Amino acid sequence: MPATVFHQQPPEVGGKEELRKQMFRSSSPFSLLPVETVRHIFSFQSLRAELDNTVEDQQLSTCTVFNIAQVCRRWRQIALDFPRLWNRILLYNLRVTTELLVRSKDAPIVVYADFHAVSDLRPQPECLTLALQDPRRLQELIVNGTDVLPGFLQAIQSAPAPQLAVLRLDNFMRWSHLDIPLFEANTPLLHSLSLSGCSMDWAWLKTLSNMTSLQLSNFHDIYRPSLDAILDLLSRSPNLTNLSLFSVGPMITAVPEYIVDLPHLEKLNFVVADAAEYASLLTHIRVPVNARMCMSLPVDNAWEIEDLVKAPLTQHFVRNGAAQSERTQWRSLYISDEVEAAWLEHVTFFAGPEEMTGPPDGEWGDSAFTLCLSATGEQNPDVPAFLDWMLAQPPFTTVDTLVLESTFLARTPDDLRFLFNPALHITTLVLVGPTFVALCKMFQERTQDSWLHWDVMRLLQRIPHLARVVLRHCAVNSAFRSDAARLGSRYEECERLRLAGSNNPPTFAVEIAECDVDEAHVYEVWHAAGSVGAWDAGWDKQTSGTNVPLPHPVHAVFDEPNLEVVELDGEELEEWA
Amino acid sequence: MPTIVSVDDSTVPGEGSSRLLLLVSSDNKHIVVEEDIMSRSRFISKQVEGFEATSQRHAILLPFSSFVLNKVIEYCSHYRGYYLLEDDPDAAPPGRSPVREWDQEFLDVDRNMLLRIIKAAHYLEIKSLVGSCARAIADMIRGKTTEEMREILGVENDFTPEEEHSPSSKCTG
Repeated sequence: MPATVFHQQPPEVGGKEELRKQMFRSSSPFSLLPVETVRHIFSFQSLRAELDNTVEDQQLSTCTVFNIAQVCRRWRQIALDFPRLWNRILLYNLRVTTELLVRSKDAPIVVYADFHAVSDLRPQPECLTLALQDPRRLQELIVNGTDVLPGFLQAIQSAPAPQLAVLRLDNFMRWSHLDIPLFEANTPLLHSLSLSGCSMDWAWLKTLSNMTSLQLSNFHDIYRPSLDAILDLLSRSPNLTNLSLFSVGPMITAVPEYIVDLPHLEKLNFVVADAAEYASLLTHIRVPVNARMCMSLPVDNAWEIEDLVKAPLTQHFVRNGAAQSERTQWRSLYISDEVEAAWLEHVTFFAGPEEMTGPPDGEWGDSAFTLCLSATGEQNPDVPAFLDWMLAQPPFTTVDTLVLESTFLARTPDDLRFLFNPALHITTLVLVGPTFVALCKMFQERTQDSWLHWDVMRLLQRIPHLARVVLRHCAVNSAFRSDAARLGSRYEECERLRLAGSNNPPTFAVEIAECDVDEAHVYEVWHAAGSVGAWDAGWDKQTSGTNVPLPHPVHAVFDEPNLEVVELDGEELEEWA
Repeated sequence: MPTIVSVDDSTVPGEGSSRLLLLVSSDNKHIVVEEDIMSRSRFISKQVEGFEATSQRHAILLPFSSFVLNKVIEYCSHYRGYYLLEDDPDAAPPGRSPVREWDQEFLDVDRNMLLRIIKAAHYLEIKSLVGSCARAIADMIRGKTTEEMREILGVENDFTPEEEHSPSSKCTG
């Protein structure tokens, strides 16, 4: 006789409760979902997904994945049968590490150890050693730490890592060198490599191919690769999208006679001390016109950038398709036509690999040529004069969007003189962080008034062609914010008129993005700006008697009724002096 | 397996620029939909291939209500002609479904409806919809305690007290 509910024995003691639970479970649609679908839901809660970017802030007990396994028997079983859920190996407790290695079964594992983390959850070296016992399971290995850890070197050298896709060793054995290939030079799937501090056996690096991201930084001088070695490495990774060389040369021993194509490159970041090193690499690679270029400005060697600007960077490969072999010619030309200008469309001067992401999408709009500056006279008195010169040179005369990064702290009004160069055609100016506060402070020093936001705007409005100022991460007061919001709303209409060839001058617009108007924060930022570098020390000495020779009279028009219409003349220009 | 019934050609035109399918829901509602719209469903595609092999046209009976079926059709209609990686049988499956803004609004429904949609999507083999539903459910339980998860998804705790408190059931120490 088939067993049906009618033939079951009456429930024993406690059986009613069990029956009620069964009915409850069966009435929940979730309990009817197929295992595969439940797994799919769980996959979003994997330790990997939860902890990738927030490991410092996470309390393990709040990790959803641990709670999932304690909801009910079915969930627990599904979770335990799903190794990928546990493949991010935590390194804070030997028992947890062991348990995760067991639960992840034979799934490829992700090991992340940040020994610099500011957190109570510090990785334990013995846990790392345990996690690296079988490098064959490694899929990602990310270690940030200065010390040589017991067993670590042996672990990363003693066995192949056939599944390793991402390897990142930061601040590791700084300035030293490992001359033994990692993972027995057997990492066929490695596509993202970042080495910082410790240089590696170049013979091993040369075995790598098909990488998409390569970041090398802070190698000791004597271990820096030659240009030829770097080009050789690049030539085997034609799908590279991200290339960052941060103080690693290249050493120029010979100038190769070939060019490497990197048709998929999206980000290119160089930080070197010598413009010749810049030029040597840039003249030997061919990158897409829309690749984002990030280059540091050596603040104590501004003249080297002058050399760089004059160098025929694209001339070689865009036109001739061959490398320039004579360095002497680098000084003989500079970029001058549309092709080169387009190539340099997104040149930025930054100072670190982390800066490569750039501003939020859309802020630079449809700019034809955005230039971002982070160096300033605050660091080097020669920089303003250099910028004054540089921005008057092609292709920089076509810059239409200028970004003054948060580190661009004008020391005196004279430091901003380059903005008023009539050769420029800047229509959008982006001021980031303390830059704007610094400007305000300069005016405060002059008038003993406070919060002269509009005075700063009036000065900026004298920049020829400028139609739009964007303040990002700036401290502004609420009244200014309100006014700016009204002005900013007109920008689109103004742009439309401008594009339509209207004879009306463009309305001056101010946009405020990601700014905090909380007064306490305003003052905090204000004082922070005042404490940067030599700002406070000798301020009066620096400003007194400073002349601001604005180069030409400007006819500015405000159409904001609450604002004074300003017609500038020579007398008013002197007011700023 | 769905039940397949024969239908006459006047109900479902056979040839033309947009052939029609007749879908019958569990509450016996007949819904005519363009084949092109439902091509995102691997299940429907396989059914249609079967029709072509036998030169007969059929209605497809589905084991969920017309309300749920209409939601699925709305989804498929929205992405008609769009390429979604998850639905490409020849592409390597993505690690996790991407966030799609429209999907988030589309799936802003109560828990039971969400679970019914994901079940239907699983049945119809629409991987992109399964992925979006899974993401929505995952968002509902993210950061929640065990008890809160049970409450949200209507799952009963069937552990014995011993099982629940045994060291092996916990990993966090």
